[in-house]
Amino acid sequence: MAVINGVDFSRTVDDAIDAARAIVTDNWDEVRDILRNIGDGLANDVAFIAQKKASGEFNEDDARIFLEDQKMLARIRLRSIAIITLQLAEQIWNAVANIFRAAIRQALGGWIIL
Amino acid sequence: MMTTVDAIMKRKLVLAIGFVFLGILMSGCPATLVQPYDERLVTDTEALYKKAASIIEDGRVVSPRTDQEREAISDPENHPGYFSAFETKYNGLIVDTEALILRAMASSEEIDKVGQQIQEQINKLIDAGSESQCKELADEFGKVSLTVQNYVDLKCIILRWKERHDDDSFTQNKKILKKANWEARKRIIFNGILAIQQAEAFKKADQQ
Repeated sequence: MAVINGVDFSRTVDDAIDAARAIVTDNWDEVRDILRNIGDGLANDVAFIAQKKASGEFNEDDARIFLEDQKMLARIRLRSIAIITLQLAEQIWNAVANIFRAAIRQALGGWIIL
Repeated sequence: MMTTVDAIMKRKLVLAIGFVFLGILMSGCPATLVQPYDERLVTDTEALYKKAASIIEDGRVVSPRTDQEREAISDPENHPGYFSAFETKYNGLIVDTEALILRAMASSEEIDKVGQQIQEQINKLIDAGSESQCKELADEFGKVSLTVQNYVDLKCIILRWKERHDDDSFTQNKKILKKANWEARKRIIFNGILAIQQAEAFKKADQQ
């Protein structure tokens, strides 16, 4: 790949990929915890219905209505995961662009075109 | 030694990477796929949770435990768990969710065109998987960001709570809920607000 004005763009690509990978690695624990939290929440809700049914506090209608609310909750949870994922995509995109911005500026003798 | 096939593959790979980065370069500016973190939105959402949780606890304490206990209430209209005792409280929560929708809408303008298109597709996918319980409300707001849509769904949940409390069929002609109904609501509002706040906290962590 071209070396322009002392800037090795092979190296720039590697740096950009490393920057993207670092973002995913840094946030993976947090993403994993959120996903685990959602999974645990769903399992707990099923246990809640079973417990209320056994104690006679929930009839079939109560369980049905609770599940209707759960469907709305699932929509909110899915969107929140999407927001987090898009946020990650945005970070990766911008990190890669930053690496190229600096390299292009140096290669073009200080011109700011990006 | 590199074969001709290897060389062609390598060239194709370099070209593919080149096109990806060219796309980024041509975009010219940083991507904004989600609306920015809004501290006020987070604190107002927390305030809504506190208010809702307090109303739920008020309802749980005064409500009967089982269908039999509810059936035995002879003068439901004067019972502290009767719908009219909570109507104003539901209305207050609905107004609060509307204020959150307004607040979220104000900062959703900062999402760029690509972000708007992606969010619209995600909302379509979610609707296809599980339609809103408040179709008219969802149609009223139309194409909004994922964050705004979460608050629209939150309003829907509270609207439905109000309707069910006032529903003779669901409450066996008493317009009084049972303790377990209130407990179920607590789980819904807790997990709903938690999901919303987790997404916002993720944005905040990025900005720090």
